[in-house]
Amino acid sequence: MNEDRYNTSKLLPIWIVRELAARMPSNDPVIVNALNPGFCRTDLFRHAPFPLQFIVKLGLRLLGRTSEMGSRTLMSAAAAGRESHGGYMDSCVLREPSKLVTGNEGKILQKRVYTELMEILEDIQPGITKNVAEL
Amino acid sequence: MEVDNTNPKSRPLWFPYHFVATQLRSLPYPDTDYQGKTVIVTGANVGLGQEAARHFCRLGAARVILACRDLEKGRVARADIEASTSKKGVVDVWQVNLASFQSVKDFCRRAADELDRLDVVVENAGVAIGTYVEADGAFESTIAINVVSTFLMALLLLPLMRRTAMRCNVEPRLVIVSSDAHMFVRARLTFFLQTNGSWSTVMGRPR
Repeated sequence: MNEDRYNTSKLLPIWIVRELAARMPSNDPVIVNALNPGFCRTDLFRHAPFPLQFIVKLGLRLLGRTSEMGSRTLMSAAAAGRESHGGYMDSCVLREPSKLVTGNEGKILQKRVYTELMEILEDIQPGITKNVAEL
Repeated sequence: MEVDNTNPKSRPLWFPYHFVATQLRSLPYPDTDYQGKTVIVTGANVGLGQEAARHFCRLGAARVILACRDLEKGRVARADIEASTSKKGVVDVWQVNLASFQSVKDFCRRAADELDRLDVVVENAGVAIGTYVEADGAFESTIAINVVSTFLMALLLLPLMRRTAMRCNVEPRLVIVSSDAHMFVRARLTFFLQTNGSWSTVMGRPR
């Protein structure tokens, strides 16, 4: 249940980035994208409970990227061109998102997730949703 | 740039191979020129954020802002980056607590007031916690930080980025750090689709 919350918190931004890119003006100079940094040796896992911590540490030692190597995925996304707008990058390459994201259910959820986020943000900062489509 | 079009038909078969192959692969060393540019990186006092900030600094950025919850940790990170890149006066540490929407608003207000340009925003900060911790607005923390605050900041910084694009003739970037962990979300999505539930309620925000 808890891992599901983290996984969901990483799924929602992929949808939101897609929807944002679709709603931003076509001549908007800003490029928005999302990325997967991979499995990296960082402090992210510091709250994992005991048995999981051990497995994660072992996994990281065998297969984990160093923070520096992981940061290269962030740098690629920051340097990516317009073709990455609304897209998802993995290992420094633009990647077709999974069917979970783009399938029939995904398409519906994308709109719903985005709409709900905008309601929440509008509640926190009235007028903010105008920032999406107004240059 | 390289685009991977091998759309996986079946996640369970494809993913383990893909995971191992990519984890072991050496990724391209960043070499884009950031001369004169201003960059904000959240969650930059350690890990991916710190290393990305280090790269931006090395690649000539005029200003790199480490957006951190803890100023002291941020300063330690700044000293570390300054030492390895031998560049002083580039890195700044600004406080922001993503568990507080007011803190995010204040941070973005400060950016709009103090920065003459904004070329790149890397929203890297995020949490992975096992217990239910309530954040601002009665949202569960993982959702508040990884989703709500992330896009609150994104939308609040967009105007400054667009002004930068017009004045400096650049294409600013807004980068969101997600994860392939997203593929492992379980049946709850079908549940919430069928029940017309909202994600914030399903994930943790008592109404």
